[in-house]
Amino acid sequence: MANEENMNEMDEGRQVVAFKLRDEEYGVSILNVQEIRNLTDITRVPFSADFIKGVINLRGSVLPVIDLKKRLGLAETPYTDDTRIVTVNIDDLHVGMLVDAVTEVLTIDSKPVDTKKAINDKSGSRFLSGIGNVDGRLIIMLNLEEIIGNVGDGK
Amino acid sequence: METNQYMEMFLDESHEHLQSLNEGLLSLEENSEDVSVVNDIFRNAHTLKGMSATMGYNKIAELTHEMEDVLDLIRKEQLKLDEDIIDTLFKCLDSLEQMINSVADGESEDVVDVSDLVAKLSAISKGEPAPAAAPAASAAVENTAAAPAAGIELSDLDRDVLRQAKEGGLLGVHVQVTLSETCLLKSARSYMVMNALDELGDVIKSVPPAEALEQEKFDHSFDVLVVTSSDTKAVEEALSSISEIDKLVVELVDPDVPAATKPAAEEKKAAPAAAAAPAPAKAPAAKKAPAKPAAPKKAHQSQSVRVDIDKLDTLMNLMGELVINKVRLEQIGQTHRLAELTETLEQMDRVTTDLQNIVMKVRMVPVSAVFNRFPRMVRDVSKELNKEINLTIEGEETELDRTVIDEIGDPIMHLLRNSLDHGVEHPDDREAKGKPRTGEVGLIARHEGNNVVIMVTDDGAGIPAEKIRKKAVEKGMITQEEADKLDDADAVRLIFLPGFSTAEQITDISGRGVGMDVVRSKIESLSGHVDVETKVDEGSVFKIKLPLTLAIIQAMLVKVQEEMYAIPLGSIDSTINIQPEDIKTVRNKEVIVLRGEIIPIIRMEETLQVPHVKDSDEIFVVVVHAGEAKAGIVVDNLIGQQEIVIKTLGNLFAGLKMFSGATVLGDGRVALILDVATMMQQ
Repeated sequence: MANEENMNEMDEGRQVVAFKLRDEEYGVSILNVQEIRNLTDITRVPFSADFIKGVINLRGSVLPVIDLKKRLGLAETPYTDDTRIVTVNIDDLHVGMLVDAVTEVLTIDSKPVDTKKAINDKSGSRFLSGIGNVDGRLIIMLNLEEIIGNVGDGK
Repeated sequence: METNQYMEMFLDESHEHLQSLNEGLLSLEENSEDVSVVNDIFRNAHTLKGMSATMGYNKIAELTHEMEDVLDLIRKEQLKLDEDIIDTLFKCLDSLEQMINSVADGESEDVVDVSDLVAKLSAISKGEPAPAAAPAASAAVENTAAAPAAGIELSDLDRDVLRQAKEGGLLGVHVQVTLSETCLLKSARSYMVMNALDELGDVIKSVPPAEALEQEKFDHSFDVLVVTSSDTKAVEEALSSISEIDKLVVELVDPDVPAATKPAAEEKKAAPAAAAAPAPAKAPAAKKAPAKPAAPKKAHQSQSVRVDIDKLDTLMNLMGELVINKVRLEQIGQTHRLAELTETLEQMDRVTTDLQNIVMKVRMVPVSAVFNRFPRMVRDVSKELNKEINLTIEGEETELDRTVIDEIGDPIMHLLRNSLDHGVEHPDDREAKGKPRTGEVGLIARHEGNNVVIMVTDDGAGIPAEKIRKKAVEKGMITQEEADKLDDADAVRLIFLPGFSTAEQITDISGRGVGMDVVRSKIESLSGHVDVETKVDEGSVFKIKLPLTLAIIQAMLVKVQEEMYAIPLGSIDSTINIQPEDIKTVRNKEVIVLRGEIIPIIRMEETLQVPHVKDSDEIFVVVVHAGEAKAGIVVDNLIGQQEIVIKTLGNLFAGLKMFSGATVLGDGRVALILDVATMMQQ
C-alpha cells in the first residue's frame, strides 16, 4: 500500500513518541500525538466495539479512548500509576489510546524494517507500519490509520 | 482606500437593515397609520444609504436615497402610503438584497438594473405636491452649478422654508465645513457632519448636494443649510467632535436678507429677532418636523457583538477545563481540611456555574433568525399565485445551534413554497370543497426529546398517494409491482427521491423536480430527518427533525450501579418509586400498572449490561415516551434534573443509536445521553 510506504518515509529520521504495552515498546510519530494525559475516569459506552474503553472529558469535549493492547490482540493488564492516555490525531479523528507507560521521545534515524518481512504475523500486522532500531531497542511503529481509521467498519 | 476590513461589517449590517426594512414594511402593510414604524424604516434606509455610499456602492446608495425620499414624505405625512408604494418599496428591498449578495460574493453590484425603480420612486415622491422638503431637494440640484464654492445661495423655496421655520421659532443656520487636506474618507466625514446636523434639526440643502458629498465629488469644503431649534453654539459643539475638520464656519441665515449681500454681522443681529419672534398658528406643524429627526438615531433594535464561532468553541473548552480544575481544588481543600479554601471555592462555584451556563447559551440562536424572513416570502408568493394565505408561526424562540441555523433556512423555504404552491388550493377551489377561502400555513418549531422539530403544515389539498405511485412508475423510478406493495405513507415518501416532481406544471415558485430530494439531503447532512404526513383534501405536514448537536437540553441524571446516564426531560412523563412486588409479568414481559395503564419496563442494568456492584434497596422508574408508546426505565437512583450540553460521540461510535450523545458533568465526568426511542425498541 502506498500509504505504508509514506509512513516509512515519514518515520525515518523522525521523532517518535515511544510507549510500553506490556514488555514491548511501541511508537507513533510525534506529529500525530497531541498530548499525553494521566488516567482519568473513563465512561464505558455500552454496545461499542470491545477494544473501545469508553469516553473521557478532554477539556470540555468528549474523546473516545481505545484500549491499545486489546486492539493489537495483547492480553490485558491492570492499570498502574504509569498508565497514560496518549491522544492522537489522524485525519479528522481524535482518539485517546490507553498505554501502560510513556517512555520517551526519540529519533529514529535508520529506515524502519518492514513488519511483514520481520515477523510472520498475519493477524495484527495491518496495525504495524515497521520496526525501528534505536541502539538495539526495538520500537514497533504503529499504523494509526488502520488502528483508528477503520474502527467504524469493524462493527 | 482600504475599505476591505469594513466589508464584513457592511454586509452584516446591511442584512440587518434589510431585515428591519422588510419587517417594518410588512407591519406597515397591515397598519399604515403607524408613524413610528415609518420613522424606524426611514432610519434604516438612511443608514444603509450612508454605509453603501461610504463603501462606494453608488447604485445601492442611489436606490436607498430614493427610498429615503419617499419614506421621508410619508413620515412627514405629505404622502399617503398605498399598496402601490409598498409594492415598489418591497421590490426595492429585493433589488437591494440581490445587489448586496452579489457584493458579498465579491462581484459588482450591477446585477440588477435599478433605474426603473429609481425612476418610479422619484415619480412617487414628486407625484404629490409636497410643499416643503421635496422641492427643496430638487431645488438644491438645480442650484448646484450657480452656487459659489464659498457660500450658499438661497432659492426662493429655501427662503420660504426658512421663513416658515422662523415663524415657528426655529433658526436657519449656514454651516461651512472645510475638511483637512489629508482627510482620506471625505465622504465618511461629510456623512458624519450630515448625521450630526440631522440630529440637531432638518437639513434643507447642501452645496454640493448630498449625493455629490457621498460620492466625494467635492474639494475639501462644503456648505449645509439647516433649520434647527438649537443655536449656533450647539451646532458648533456638535460638529467640533468630528475629527479631520480644518475649518468650521457656523452662521445664522435670515431669509429676508438678499443672498447677494449677506454680511455675517447682519445675520447675527437678525438672530435674536428670529428667535424671539412670536410663534403664530403655524408653529405646531413646523415644530413637528425637526422634532422627529432628533429622536435617537442610533437606537439599534438589539445590541450585539459579532464573534467568530471558533472563539466560542475555544471559550467553551476553556470553561470545561476551569470547572475540572475547580473540582481538583475542592478535593485538595477537603483532603487537607482547609476550611477557608473550601469556602472560597463555594463562592467560585457559583460564578463558574453561571459562567458555564452563559458560555453554553451564547452559541444558541432562536429559530426566529430564520423564521422572520418567511412572512414576507409568503406574502409575495400568495400574491403572485392569487391565493389567500395566512401564515402562523409558533415556537420561534426555540433555540438551535448557530451552525444548524445557518443551514436550515433553504430547506424550510422550499417546504413552505411547496405548501403555498402545491398545497393550498385557489380560494375558489377551497370554497367548492367547503373550506374557508383563506388557507392556513403553519411553521412550528419545538423541542421533542433530543431533537428540535420544525413542521411546515398546510390545510391544503394533500398529496394523493395514487398519483405519486403512478408518477414514480411513469418515471421508471420503481416498477408497478413495487408501487403496489407500498402502503400510502411510503408511497408519499417517494417525493423525497431525486428527480421527482408532481406539479402538473412547473412554476416559478417551486417544482422543477429538484426540490424535495435536495431538502432531504440537506437535512440529512445536518444528521436530521424529514418526513411527511398527508391526507387528501385535509392538508400535509412536513416534519423536519434535527438533532440537538451541541444544543443544551434539560435532562434527568440517573444512576445505574456506578454509572451515570442522562435522560432528556422532554421524553420523561414522570418518575416513581416502586416496590419490587409492584413489577408484574405479562407473557413473560415485566410491566407495571400506573394509573390504570400497563407500562412495560426496561431494566437499564440488563439492557446496557452494566457491571453489577451492589444490590440496590430501592427501585426508581422513569416513565418515558416515544411517540405514542410508553415505557418505564428502571434505575437505581435519581440524581436530579440538570441542563446539559449535548456533545456528539464522534465517528468512532457511528451506528451506535442507543445514545444520542454525551455530556460533561460538573465534576468533569462524562455521562451518556440515552436515546429513549432506540432503547424502547430493544
